[in-house]
Amino acid sequence: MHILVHDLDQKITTYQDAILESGSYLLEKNYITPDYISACINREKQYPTGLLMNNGIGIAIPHANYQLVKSDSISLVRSTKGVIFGQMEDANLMVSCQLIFNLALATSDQHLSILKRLFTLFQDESFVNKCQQSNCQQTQELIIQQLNI
Amino acid sequence: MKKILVVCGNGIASSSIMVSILQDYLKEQHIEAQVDKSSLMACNADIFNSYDLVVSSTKIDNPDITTKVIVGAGLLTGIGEDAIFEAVKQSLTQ
Repeated sequence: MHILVHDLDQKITTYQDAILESGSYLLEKNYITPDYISACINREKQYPTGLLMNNGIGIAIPHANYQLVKSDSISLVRSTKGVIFGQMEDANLMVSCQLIFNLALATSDQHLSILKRLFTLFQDESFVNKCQQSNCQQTQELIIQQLNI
Repeated sequence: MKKILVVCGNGIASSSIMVSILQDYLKEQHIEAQVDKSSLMACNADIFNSYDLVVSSTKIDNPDITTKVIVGAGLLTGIGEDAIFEAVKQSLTQ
């Protein structure tokens, strides 16, 4: 499992641009096929992945067909201003997301424990705060350490 | 045994987590139920209606679905989680 962490340019405010950016880092490392990026954007249109967490932070988890993934990875892009995503539970509602975890999992079932752990961490205010406030490398190390991967 | 279908957009991440959280809850409550997972794209009303309960990550607007649908995104965010558990329990034990 590879973890990538980058900061989004302040100019990026749409989910399409945010996913293009998060996906480009995965593509650069050859963790995905080029089609994965557009698949994530298309999925987002139909079934958005924005989540307003109980700690008030907006987190999005764009992902798509695992057959387009070459190597298990997560590309986190961070936005200080927030990127507008539709909400998973109701596509008519919007949520401003500061953390966008572009999930690229090559297998659907094997990584359940990692996904579960990740969602537990999303509800942990101190983890989320550190993900926002630390620099990219520290955040990457934190995620690797907390996910125990 | 009652049958629950858990669905999300593509049946990969969100539904897998919801299944796992629900199974932990049912075990803790000593409720026996079969929990299946699928994607919204793969399911039609007939499939939904063959279950006793549907837990979906998102709202489903389909008047042909007669099975009770509970929106379960709160299992992922922690918002309203207890109310979702309670609704699941009620549906399965009534």
